[in-house]
Amino acid sequence: MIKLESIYKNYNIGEHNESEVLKNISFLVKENDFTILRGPSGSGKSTILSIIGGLIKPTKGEVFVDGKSIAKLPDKFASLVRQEKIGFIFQKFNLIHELNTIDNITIPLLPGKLSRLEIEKRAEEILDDLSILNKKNVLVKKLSGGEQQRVAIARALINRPKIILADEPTANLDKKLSLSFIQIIKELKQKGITILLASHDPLFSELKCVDNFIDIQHGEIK
Amino acid sequence: MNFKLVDFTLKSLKRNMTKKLSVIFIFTVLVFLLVSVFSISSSIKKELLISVDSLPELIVQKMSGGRQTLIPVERAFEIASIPGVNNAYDRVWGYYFFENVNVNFTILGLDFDLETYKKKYDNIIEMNSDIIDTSNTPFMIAGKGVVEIFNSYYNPNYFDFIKGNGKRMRTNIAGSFSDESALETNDVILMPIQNVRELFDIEEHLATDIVVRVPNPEEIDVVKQKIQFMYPDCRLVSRQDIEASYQNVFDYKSGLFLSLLIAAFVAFFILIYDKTSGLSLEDKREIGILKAVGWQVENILQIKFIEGAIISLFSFSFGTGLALFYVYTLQAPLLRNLFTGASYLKPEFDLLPIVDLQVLSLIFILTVPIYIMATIIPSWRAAIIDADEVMH
Repeated sequence: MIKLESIYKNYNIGEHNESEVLKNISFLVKENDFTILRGPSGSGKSTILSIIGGLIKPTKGEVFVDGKSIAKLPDKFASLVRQEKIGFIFQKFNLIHELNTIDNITIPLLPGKLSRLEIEKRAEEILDDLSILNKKNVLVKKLSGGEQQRVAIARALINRPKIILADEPTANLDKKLSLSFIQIIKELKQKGITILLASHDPLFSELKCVDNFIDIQHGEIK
Repeated sequence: MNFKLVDFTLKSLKRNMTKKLSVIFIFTVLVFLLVSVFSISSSIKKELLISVDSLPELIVQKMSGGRQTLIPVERAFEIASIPGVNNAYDRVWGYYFFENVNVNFTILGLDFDLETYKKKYDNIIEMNSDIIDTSNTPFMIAGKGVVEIFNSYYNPNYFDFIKGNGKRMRTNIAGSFSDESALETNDVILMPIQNVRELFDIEEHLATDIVVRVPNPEEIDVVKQKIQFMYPDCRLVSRQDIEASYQNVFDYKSGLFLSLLIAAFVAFFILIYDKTSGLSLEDKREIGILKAVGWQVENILQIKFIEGAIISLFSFSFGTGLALFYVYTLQAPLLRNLFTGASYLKPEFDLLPIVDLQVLSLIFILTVPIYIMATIIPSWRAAIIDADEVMH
């Protein structure tokens, strides 16, 4: 489902402050796998997720998502891959605080062809699954941290992605909310979704449902 | 058109309303000023051109020592015999200084039976019902501005002119011109020609100038050359000369507005510069989020286009509507005085409602597309860089 081949990523290329953040990263995530990228802050976990999601391009190497090479894909097509196959969950949720829950969730589908009614129906189903349907018209800035994260998860699921990329999803949550998040992730795995999660939270190391752990340190796989 | 994106943009505008209000305010004020100035200008221009249209094709003035002097009346008959000339007649007129208000009025002598003038003025004169008998006493028909000054500073029914020989000439105010002709008649007093001769001490065989009517515009230059050849001591003033002179005065006054408009444009372009020079962190973050959830650059440009179009079209329409209301319903208080001059005798006339589509289109082109571009360009810059960078 996700395949990385000798990925390198350098920033500020050719400048005095050039830095190599990823070195020769290669791994494979099979369909419906739950994979954890582990490593300390600054080790390059988020950069790997950004490359897989097509948000940034690697300096060198190949990335395949669902069989399609995306490393050199023009921005327009990378967006399409994200729209069709990937759902992102960010560490800081990255919600638009002045919009309400349902408006935040439906954002990924607005440029598409689904009608407003269909989009809202789909959003309500997801909100119901995540037990926050009663918050659908509440501004997200008025929601608790846990609720905001559920909104972020709902937004990641609205386009029915095959892959979920989650970047430090429990970094801003307490243990109870983190466990609740893990429960949601388990359910997503049961539904056949491939999950790649970057975290240095020890909670994930104890999980039995995790298929693979990939340890990253200083931009390299250990 | 994707109405979901329109809806999203409207919600975005709503949540950023306080930020957008200053933009809408500056934009509206700019459009208001531009449309007001151009509307007043178009109306006055139209009014002046109507006035010019009623002027004779040629006026013949006798010159002596470089200044205008009285012209022999007999020349009118000789000029009338030139082929192409429909009519030529002498005019007796002059300026009379009213000390109390420090202003000159134009006093024009008229043969009230003369067909041309009768036709022109019969329907625009409101008679003064207090004055019944005009057969024995000199009388006048005055412009609105003159009448107002008589009412305020002198007797509303008559005025004692001081003649050239130093004696008084009591003159009844028999009527006034209606509002429609205010701009051209505001400071004019019409009197029977013999009264004007008496007032200015002009002998029977002399006149102030001679008016020449030439119906065919193609023949005006030829007639002008012939008159000049016949009377080398005369100066000929054509309608085009007067029109150019009006235009010059008008353009000079329009120039006063340049400073006002330049200030408005400077404010607008500072706004544009501010917009194009970069987005706020919040805006960049939002673009990053949209890209991260699968939006393409063109989707982001679409919503920014819609946003720019909504703000600029609303401000343009509101500013234009406000300006048209201000100019044609309120009659442009303050601004019109700058155009019509600060004379004691301000012509009271209605600004004719004229919507100059060319000018409106020009203002539209100078503001709306520029603003939309200024909204799109920085968003495009933010959208084409990696979403990952934008979000950090």
